[in-house]
Amino acid sequence: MGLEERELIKHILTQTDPSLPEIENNLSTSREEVIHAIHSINTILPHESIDVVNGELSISDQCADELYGLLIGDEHVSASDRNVTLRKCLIETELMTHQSGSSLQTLSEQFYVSKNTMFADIKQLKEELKNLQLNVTYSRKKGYRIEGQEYLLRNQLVHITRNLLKTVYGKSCLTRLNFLNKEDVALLKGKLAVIEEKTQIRLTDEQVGELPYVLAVLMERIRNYPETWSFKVEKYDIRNTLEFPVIKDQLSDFPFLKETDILYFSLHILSSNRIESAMDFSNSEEIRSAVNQFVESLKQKLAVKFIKETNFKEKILLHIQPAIFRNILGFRVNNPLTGRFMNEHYDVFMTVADAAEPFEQIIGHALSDEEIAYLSMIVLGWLYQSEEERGSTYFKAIVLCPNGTSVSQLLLENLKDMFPQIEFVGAYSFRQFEGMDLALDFIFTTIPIKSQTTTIIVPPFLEPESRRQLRATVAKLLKKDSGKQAKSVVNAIRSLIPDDKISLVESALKSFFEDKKEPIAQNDSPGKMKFGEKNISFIDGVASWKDCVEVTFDPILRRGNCENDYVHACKKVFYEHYKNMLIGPNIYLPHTESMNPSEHADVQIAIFRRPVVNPEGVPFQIMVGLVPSRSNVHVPLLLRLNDFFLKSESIPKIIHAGSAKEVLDLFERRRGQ
Amino acid sequence: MAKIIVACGSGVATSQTVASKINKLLSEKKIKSTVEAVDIKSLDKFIKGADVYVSIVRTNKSFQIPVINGIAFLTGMGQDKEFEKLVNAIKEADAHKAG
Repeated sequence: MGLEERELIKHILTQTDPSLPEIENNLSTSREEVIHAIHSINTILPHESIDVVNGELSISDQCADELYGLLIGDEHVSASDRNVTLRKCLIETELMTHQSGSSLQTLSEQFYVSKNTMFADIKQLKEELKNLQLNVTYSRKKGYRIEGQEYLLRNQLVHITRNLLKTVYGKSCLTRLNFLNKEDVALLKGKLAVIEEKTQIRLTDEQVGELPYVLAVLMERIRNYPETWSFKVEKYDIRNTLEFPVIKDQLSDFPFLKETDILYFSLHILSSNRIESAMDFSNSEEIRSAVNQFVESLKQKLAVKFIKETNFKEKILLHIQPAIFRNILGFRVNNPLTGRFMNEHYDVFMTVADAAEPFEQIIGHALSDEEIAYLSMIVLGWLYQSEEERGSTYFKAIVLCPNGTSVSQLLLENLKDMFPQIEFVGAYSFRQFEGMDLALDFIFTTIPIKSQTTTIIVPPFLEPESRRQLRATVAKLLKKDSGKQAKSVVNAIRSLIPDDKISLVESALKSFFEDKKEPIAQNDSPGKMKFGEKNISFIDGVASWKDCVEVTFDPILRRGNCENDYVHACKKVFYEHYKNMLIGPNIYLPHTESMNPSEHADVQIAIFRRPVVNPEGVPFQIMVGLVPSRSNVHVPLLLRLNDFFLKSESIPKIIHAGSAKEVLDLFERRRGQ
Repeated sequence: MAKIIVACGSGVATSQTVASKINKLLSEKKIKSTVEAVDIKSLDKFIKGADVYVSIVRTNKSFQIPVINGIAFLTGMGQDKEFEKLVNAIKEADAHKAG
């Protein structure tokens, strides 16, 4: 699957009602390409397909799941029994958050299934919950209910909410079925930001996305089940932490929350995955000692030496503190890459599982496969690190990932290994990156982002095929970019160039590669933008308002200086904002930002012999199509054009000119004045 | 020295052209200022440090600083009036900073 398809899937999954025009607009692509990408996706979807009806995309829930599976690289997401799994999650949430005396009839109506199906679902649910010491009960008066210790019940509610949030439909389901209050979510987002700031803990992007929803669902339960309850957390005295008063203070805007509820919320905030933390647990010495034992055990079992061992231990500590915390409290962590990691790195997984015994002693039970997989990713990521001097790096890059911890650490080390010519600054979450000011050549990211820097989308887990594709993508990008090509060559012969001449040689080589590509590429280098007879066209036939932009850009397209995508993007912007896109009185300037490195600055003056009429009924006869340069070399030309068009006699003379040469002469004459 | 920002949809052509034109016109009048072209998405960020805003997009938003119609510099219609407004706004900003 190519990057275009990935981007399209990502886009479809985040829109409520995706349509062809909306996708064309947002992805700056042509309709033909969108349809082509949809066909290409449909061929790899296991069971479902994306249907296009009157320009609107029709996507079933199953299809959305399969798309999500493709995006995260897990085809098994589309298991045939998933509907049942989803429904059971929703039934569970319904019974735990609402107290509406649900009967078989009301539940079957709510979830659009027969009473028989609902009965079967509840039967299965009963069995599953029994293992968690929870019971599904029924009485005529109260209907179906899930009963058990409130602490266990809430843990299960959090667990299924997190599972729902991992699916594309999760957030919409939670809102649609009134499992949460949207206002609570918005308020909690703000509160969590303040808590992060005041306690100096830095949650991963994923946690920031999930926690407000998880806590809002819990609030729904608390509102409907206001009975007093208690739980014991003696081992980690939350009340005495520095963070608890801050959390309590922030949650004081929710008066229905009792001290126990706030304590329970604190557990979830404090046991979340973190990137950075200033928090120190009361018995951190015990955990530090376990980390030391863990690392020593790994060294023995794997017969390796960890470079920067102290840093490695700190990294493990940062991860394991909340992990131990959530395990003691009985919270389960999600790790969608567990299965794949176990398949690919079984030996490392087993060794880490073995070495993790000191942690399991603190917790009192074995760590789950998900936790072991997270731990293994950090270990493997560190093992990939090398102390060898990476003297040959000449590009700078960063890795971005919503998790920002173990997953990105492994991805970072994999990428370092694959691209020795790139110096990787580090792996960061998107929020961390926002606050950075770095001069980069590449951004490797697991989710599309808009940036002036060359951005490469990578899957969180690099399998052999995705590695091959990624190498090809980077090679293609390097080949396309004359600046990067020049940098590579300079690096290869660096020892032969005097230091003070390096930038000169690099700049000369850059021009050399630009000239080699396309003569017009000179328009992208600092200097003057070329403007000649070929940049002026006469349109003798009738052109409509709808077609005039395409007609104007046609010669630029034929010169190969822009692609259809660019023209489509221009049309979108122009037809919405044409009143502001002018370069002279009644002279339109359709253009947009050029994001494609293969586009070259170019301009075309289209002179319509027969006036085109705009939606206000105003006729016009000149339109200037522009592909801007990244170094703004088009600006002096635009200034000259503006100056020329502002002369009252210019416009009639241009319209009645017999040839492009005549227009050019008029233009040059004005310039000479 | 007053700071002027010019914003259009993409920040690559019309705002750049208007910014260059304003720069030229102010230099001719020997008025010192910095003129910067930005895209509309970055407006909120840049407007904080600016003294005058030259707008090439229609907006219902109200701003704390004087707003000049940038389209006038492209079409020539009302350009003199808008330029005069701009010069006065710069003078006021400079006087405020000096005081």
